Amino acid sequence: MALLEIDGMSVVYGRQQAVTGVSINVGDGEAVGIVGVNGAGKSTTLNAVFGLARKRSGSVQFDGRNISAKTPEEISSTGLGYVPEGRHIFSTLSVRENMKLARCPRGEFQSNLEEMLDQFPILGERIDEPAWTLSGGEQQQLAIARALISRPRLLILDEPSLGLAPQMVERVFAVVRRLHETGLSILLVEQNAGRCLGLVSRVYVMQKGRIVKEGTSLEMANEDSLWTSPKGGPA
Amino acid sequence: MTYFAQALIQGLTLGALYAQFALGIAVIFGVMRMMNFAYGELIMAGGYAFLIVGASNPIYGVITALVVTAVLALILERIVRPLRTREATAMLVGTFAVSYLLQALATLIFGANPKTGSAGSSLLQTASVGSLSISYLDILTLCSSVVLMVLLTLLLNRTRTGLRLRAVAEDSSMARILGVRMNVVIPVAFVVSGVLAGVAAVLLVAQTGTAQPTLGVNPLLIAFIATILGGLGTFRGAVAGGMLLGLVTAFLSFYLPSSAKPFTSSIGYVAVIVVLVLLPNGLISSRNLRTRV
Amino acid sequence: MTYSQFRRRGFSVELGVLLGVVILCGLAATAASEVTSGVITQGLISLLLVVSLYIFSGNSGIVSFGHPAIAFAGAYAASLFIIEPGQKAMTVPGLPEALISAQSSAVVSVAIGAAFGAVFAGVVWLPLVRLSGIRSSLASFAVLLVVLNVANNWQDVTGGQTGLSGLMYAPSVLSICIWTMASLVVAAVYGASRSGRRLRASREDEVAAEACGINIALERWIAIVVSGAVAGVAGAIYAQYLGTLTPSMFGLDLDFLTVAMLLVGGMFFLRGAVVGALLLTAVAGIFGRIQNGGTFGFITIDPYPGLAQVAFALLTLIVVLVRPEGLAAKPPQFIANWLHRRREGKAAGVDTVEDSAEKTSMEVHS
Repeated sequence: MALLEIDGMSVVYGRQQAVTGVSINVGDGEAVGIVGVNGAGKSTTLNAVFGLARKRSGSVQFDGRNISAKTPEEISSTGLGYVPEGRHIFSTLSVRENMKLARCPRGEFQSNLEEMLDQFPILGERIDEPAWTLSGGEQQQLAIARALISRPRLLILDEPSLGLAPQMVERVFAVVRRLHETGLSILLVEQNAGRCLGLVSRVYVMQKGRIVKEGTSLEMANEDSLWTSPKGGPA
Repeated sequence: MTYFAQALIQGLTLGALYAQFALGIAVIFGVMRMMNFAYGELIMAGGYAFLIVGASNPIYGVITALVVTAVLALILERIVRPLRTREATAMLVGTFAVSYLLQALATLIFGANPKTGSAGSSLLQTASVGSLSISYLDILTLCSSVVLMVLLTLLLNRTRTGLRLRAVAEDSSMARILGVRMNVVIPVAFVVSGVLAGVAAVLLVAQTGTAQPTLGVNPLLIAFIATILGGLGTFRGAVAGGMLLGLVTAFLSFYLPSSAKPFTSSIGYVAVIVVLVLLPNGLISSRNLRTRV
Repeated sequence: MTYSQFRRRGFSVELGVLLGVVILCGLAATAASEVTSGVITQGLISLLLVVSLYIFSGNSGIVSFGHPAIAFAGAYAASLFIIEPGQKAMTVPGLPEALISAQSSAVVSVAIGAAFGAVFAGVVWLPLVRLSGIRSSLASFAVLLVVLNVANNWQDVTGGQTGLSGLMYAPSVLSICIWTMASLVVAAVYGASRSGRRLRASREDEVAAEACGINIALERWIAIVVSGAVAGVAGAIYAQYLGTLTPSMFGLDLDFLTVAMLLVGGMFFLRGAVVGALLLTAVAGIFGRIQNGGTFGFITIDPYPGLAQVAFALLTLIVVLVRPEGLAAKPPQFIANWLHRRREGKAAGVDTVEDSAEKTSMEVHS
């Protein structure tokens, strides 16, 4: 039984079909990637899973429960963590306030916070500063830490390397790898196929709103379509 | 000098009142990007409540006014809830319709003519300090404004609900992803707005002793100017915009030649247009706040 | 000109139907009792104003709350020319001598109203056309408030709160019908023009339209000038119909009424303007009669001031909440079926290109 099971999901934006019949599984403890060029429908898929985009058809199961019709607020309490593209930290709030916003059982916040500060020491140093003063890489760490504080079973990451300097990307991926090694399931969306393959065990390839290929990282590493922009695709 | 001091006192009092008007609009605009045109009618309803109940006992009058405005604000929230996912214009028209509806209902229930009463009239006595005179009502206006702003600041900065309010104001989708429930946070903002409207209603009616269906139109227009001048949707901006507008209005009414006085409000409206066209963040903008509209 | 060329210029079957509706209203107004006739006439005058709002808001997607200001400007300019010079010297002594003595016929005065409305809108909206969405709406609302404030207080020039009275011509039902039909034609022709099509493209997607080289501010400005001319006509006719002109006639009530009419009918459709204006006038008229009290057959009703407004506001609110695209957004089923059959029958014929073009434009609207 997979932890997350997306089955035949379609999303329509206005009059445009953005995602068509997408099915994705993430097993318990597994790390899975979705790759594809800009505009292939990756982020829309994630937004729809989290209830932020209206699904036209298909179902989403998480941990055996149907979450297709739930609101983002409800989904966040099922054990699903989401770090959307562009980080979306609250720039006017302090680092601590950003962390405080995440849903967390009463009394556990302080211990969870301390654990996060151990993992992301830089956040501890800036804990009471407004978040807009953080660098891009620090903001990305804050976004991940904030998603982790409610102790999700599956972490969904959308383009965590976007707009970061190479060594910062290295750091962020190291963190994600460490999290995965502690047993957290990961669903990672990346444009950078190479980075993605290094971290996940299975990959789905999206193109024009559909899954066009799937396979283990090993199989996909030899797949040409992954490394070149698909012909006719929206580049 | 006395003339200047008198103008200053008047300006501060007006500014305090205007800041209250503006906050009631800003707190809702902040959480749902909705310019609430029905805000004036909350004040109108509170005004009738205070006038009717407050005639026998002012304290009961104040409580009734606050309850009426808070409950009406909650009902309004339920009405516009389906509009939340729609564009800002739909919300604008929706609240415009509610505003028109409430004015019409007030006409149906209380008649179009002003209703007069003596609720709170004892506050109109004035105290003299040297050559300056200031009415008890002005003192009460200043005090209530300060108290409300302190309470609102505490709510926003010291409580979990306030934190969520600020988060929703900045990025509502991300707040939802983290589990902040919009259907809890937004009603809180409406209640805050309702309470502000209730206090404003009491102060207004105590001043004039009358209530009519159009009682809320002027406060709404003032709040409209003040929130836009201060930068839409920021709490500090609303207070600053209200204060500024009050001071400018008072000084103009003291120093403008009497032939020009009727045109004072045009200056405010023109300022609104200038700010909307040239300064997207309002007159007072902080560096990290991006355009909100 | 062939039929398709006509249609490309905006003369569609839909326009023909709408013109027919206006003619029917005119005939009904001539035949009906005085009260009913009054309601119908008011409906047509409202329609004039709503059409002017449609020309700007329908094509640009920006709700304007400033149109009563333009209508007031047009009405003011038009009214000045049809008041006795002696009376003008008393009510508006601040005007230059030439204007006080100037006089014209009813038709010319309405044309003057149209011209002044266009100029006024063109000048005032010059900075506003750069704004989009709610900012533009709020700025246009501020324009209305400035105009009302100035009109109410500039006693020597506008007549202040009591305004102008003694307008010498009352418009006939026929002339109201003609002006209304002319405004519908203007709206349809503008909508089919290059500027109208570009503006609608910007309404769908501002960034994409700009990327295609569309100067959105310019197209909006053209729209507001055309819209301003029609608003000027509407204001002029409205003032002539009532025989007076006061700022309060063009206040927040009228503002809400016109915006509500357009939204109830369907903001993106010319037929929406017609349906909204006539339907809401009818609702207000019926409830207005109940509100005034009196005996209806066996039933006696006490007067309920405010009842018509309550009905009007409730209907608007319900439509905004339940059918946000407006009542006339989709044609009724039987018309849709008929159009469908007509299209299928002609599929093999010559007009297929035109039909597919219309199909896409309808999809864009929905």
